[in-house]
Amino acid sequence: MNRSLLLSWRFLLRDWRSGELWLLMLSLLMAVSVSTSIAIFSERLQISLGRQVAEVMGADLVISSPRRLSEEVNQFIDSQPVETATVLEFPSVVMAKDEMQLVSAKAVTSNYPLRGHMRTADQPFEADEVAQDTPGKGEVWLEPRLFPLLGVEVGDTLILGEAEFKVARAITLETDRGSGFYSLSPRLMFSMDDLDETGIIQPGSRVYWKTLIAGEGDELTGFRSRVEPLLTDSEKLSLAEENREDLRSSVVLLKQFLGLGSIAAMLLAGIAVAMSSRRFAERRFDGIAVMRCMGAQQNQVMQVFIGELLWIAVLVSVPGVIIGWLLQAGAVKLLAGVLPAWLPEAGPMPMVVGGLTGIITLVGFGLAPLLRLREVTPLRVLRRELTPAAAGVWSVYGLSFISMLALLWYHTGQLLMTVGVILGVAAVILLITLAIKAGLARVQRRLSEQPVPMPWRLGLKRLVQEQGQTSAQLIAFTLTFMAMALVLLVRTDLLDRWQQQLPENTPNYFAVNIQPAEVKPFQNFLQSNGIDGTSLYPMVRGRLVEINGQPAKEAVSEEQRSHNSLNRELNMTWSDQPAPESEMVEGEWWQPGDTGEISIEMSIVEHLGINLGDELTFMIAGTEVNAEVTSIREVQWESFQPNFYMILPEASLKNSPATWLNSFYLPQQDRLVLNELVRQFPTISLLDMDAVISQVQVMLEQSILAVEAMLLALLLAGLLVLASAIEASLDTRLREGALIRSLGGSRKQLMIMQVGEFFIMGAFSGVIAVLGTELCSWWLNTQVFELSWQPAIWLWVTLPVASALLIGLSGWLGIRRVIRQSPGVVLKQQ
Amino acid sequence: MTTGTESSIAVSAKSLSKTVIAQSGSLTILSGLDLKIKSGESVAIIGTSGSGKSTLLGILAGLDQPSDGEVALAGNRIDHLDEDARARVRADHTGFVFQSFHLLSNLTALENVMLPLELAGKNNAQAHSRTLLERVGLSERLTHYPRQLSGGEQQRVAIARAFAGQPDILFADEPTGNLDEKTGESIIDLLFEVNRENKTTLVLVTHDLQLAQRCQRILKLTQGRLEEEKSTENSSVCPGEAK
Repeated sequence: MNRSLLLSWRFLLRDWRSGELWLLMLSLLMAVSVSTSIAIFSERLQISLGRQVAEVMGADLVISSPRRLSEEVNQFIDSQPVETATVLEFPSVVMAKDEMQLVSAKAVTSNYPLRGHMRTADQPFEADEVAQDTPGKGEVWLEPRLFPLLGVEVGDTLILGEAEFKVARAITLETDRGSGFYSLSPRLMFSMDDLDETGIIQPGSRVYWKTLIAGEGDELTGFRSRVEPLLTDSEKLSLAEENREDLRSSVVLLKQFLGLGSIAAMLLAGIAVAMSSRRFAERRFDGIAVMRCMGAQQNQVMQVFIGELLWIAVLVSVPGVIIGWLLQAGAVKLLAGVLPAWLPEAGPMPMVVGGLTGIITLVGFGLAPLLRLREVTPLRVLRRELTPAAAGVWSVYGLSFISMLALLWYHTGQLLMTVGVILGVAAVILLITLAIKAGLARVQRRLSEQPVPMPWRLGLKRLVQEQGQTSAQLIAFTLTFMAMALVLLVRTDLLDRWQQQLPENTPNYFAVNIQPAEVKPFQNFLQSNGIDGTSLYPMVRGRLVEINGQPAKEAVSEEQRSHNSLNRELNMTWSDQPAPESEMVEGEWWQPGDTGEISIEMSIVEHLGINLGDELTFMIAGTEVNAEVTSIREVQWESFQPNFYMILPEASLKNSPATWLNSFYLPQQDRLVLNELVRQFPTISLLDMDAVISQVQVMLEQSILAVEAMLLALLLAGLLVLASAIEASLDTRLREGALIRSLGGSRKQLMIMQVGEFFIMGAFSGVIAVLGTELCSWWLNTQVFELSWQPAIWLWVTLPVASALLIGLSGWLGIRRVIRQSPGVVLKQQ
Repeated sequence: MTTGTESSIAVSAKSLSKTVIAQSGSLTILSGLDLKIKSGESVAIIGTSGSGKSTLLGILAGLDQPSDGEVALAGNRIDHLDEDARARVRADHTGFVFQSFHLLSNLTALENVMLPLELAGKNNAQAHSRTLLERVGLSERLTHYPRQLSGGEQQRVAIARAFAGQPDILFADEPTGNLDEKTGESIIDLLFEVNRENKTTLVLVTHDLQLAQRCQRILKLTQGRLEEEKSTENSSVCPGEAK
């Protein structure tokens, strides 16, 4: 084996010197650098997007509990390489002058928040800036609407529990406030150091402790898995990425799309490798016959050439990884304006994987064509026509499929998508093989029946006679177009979806707790300020007390018992129309006038085990209300529209005491209107969603950019595949062209023959690619991305035309040499 | 199997047949052919185009298998061996010169000559090959690629390569077929000279009678059998000096 390895090294040097290897190496370099750069880039982007989600939560990880964490957990956390901050939230009444007000008090340690930031203003409703600190000792910061409610100004004092505080600033943005409706009372924030002095926290007080934790990727994963077993049932751990449904789905979609992009890119690189290694193999038939003639054994020959291939893989992987790293670094630099400001370095893993990808791609796609070398008989030295049979399409692609499946599954972690794309590819290959068998046989018959001009006849004849070569090229062309069209198509759907998700005027403020008598004046106020406030929802608060006649807490399992919905009042609404933002999963909506029915959100089914047909009893303002679950809905939380877990018919609730919720869009520059709004309607709670929405919008913009960059990289990769496919057929074309020229054929005839052939192949592969693309996009949209699907009619026309032109043009560029070459020179070389 | 008498036989064939399946049915190319070539002998096999000369050469050299009959090369029966086993015999005993040279286009002249030595794992491949190329008059052309060499030069490289492994038997298939007359003659001179220096058995297939005349024996292949055209069994004249 050592001798073979040495020999293969010599062969490598010699082949390199004679210019034989550049295309194979380039294809492989592309596979490695593209996969490395995508792996690094998406890991960095993922960490960063995760971090942005974390910013909205104030930490990467939060442990929340009704009590302080146990000593054991605290000690463990202290021993870990993570940063922590502590937050305590509790409802309390605050007094200032003669006013009393229920507030949601929050005590924070001085390093709060660990991720993201707060914004504060010196005066309520005035220009704000990023807060560099937290409330100092003896200070409180208040939400703007608290100022009019309490009748205080900055500098005044107020009393919380037993302690007196000075009002220092207005909090305009508190990233981890989130979009939940739990804490509707206005915020009051003070320092954790003052907590004891207030004397508020007594055993049994209703409080909510949160331990915020921040750390780097791997440390965090390790931390999480080790801390989880130490936690009790009441201590709940949540990870930033998993916590925010609304933000998460965008991150997941982007991850999936980047995954799809890497599948397409690696498929393209794989095809390029397959095509160039096919040429690499075919150009070695004669040499191997001679070597066999000299007594080289089958295994020895294989060892030498596979060894050469492995040398190539190793040698290309290293610069490939470096180029991949540079590519993503360049992309990050170029896109600095739009990418997240904080883009952490990725670990070494993507680079290792990128390098290995090169080796696996080369073996998976390049080995099968090389296996033909085994079949080269030494007798070829006497009879040159003894060419080894072309490796069967399935044996070539079988190996590639397996390596592809393994690689992609690893890279994307998405089996469903990988299987979908691979099945699509398999379908395309099957289609092509069948079409070639049937179609070319027909062409052959036609040729013998009808007179066709000579150049076209020769071009077509070659397609028919060299079916193996033709299939290989067609498969390469088709898969290339398919990969590009697929990414383009899914990208368009994805962008549409993202744009729909957050249309321009998505409501960024929610006004809750509007009393029935205030509804009209409130709407008039909005209208007079040019704000559309027509989306109104009634809100009724009630407690779920019984499930199927049994007390609710007894009807559910122990684990489900701690769920929020059983421990607090729920916000319900009434409507006789199904909510537009939700999708019916099961059951049917009621008719206007019906009573005794309820529609519940999917997650209630999961969390409380309630199902269609169950009888629920609510206690609403001292009255029992019974309802049967007649429908289950799935809510799109990322839509930022008001959503409700429980919806009842209007007739069931209209006599219950209700307040109203109004969501509206207010441009950033008009924020001062809120000042007046809060003054006029002091009891109304205003939720500022603007920060969260802009965060999501920025993430979507970055995602769109990443998607576009991926598409561009794919296009370049596609062109390289075309180049290798054309280059692979150049030897035959050169010889044939020279023969035709020497027989008196004109350059024009030769041109029509060769370019015409490419043109036909381009059009044909365009048609098959459309079929494959539609098939794959249907699978991806419906099974993976959960987007709607409809056939892309425009693709049926544009793709075949574009591919015919593109292949025709690339073919022309590639074979200009064939046409210009003096026939004598070519024939002498053969 | 190898006896004292047989050891002086370089190539032998007994009741050799070769039948191939063609579109029109089975086609017999060789039928019951017998042949013995002594060590050091030079033998020309002649015949018309399509008579099966190359097929016979292929079988005798162990590149192909007969349909029936026995073949021995340097005392080794090879007709029943598989391809790898025959490759071992070829590696140890044979050298080849072809009509179309069959140089590896991506290797220089020197590397082409080194190839058989490298495949056999010999140590001094480069020095030995250099000497051989000097011997065939190409010391100035060591680093040239085949495409940079004339036909005659390419065949010289091929001759140097054929002798690189110091074979017992050299098989040549129409070695001048692709060359003009003058170049062809100089190549044949060289071939016979080197052959004589190395005391190699030469089996040469050609349709060129003039070239065949320079061998000690001429065998004519007609209808699948060999007929002795010229027998120099008792001749002491060295083929190289017959000119």
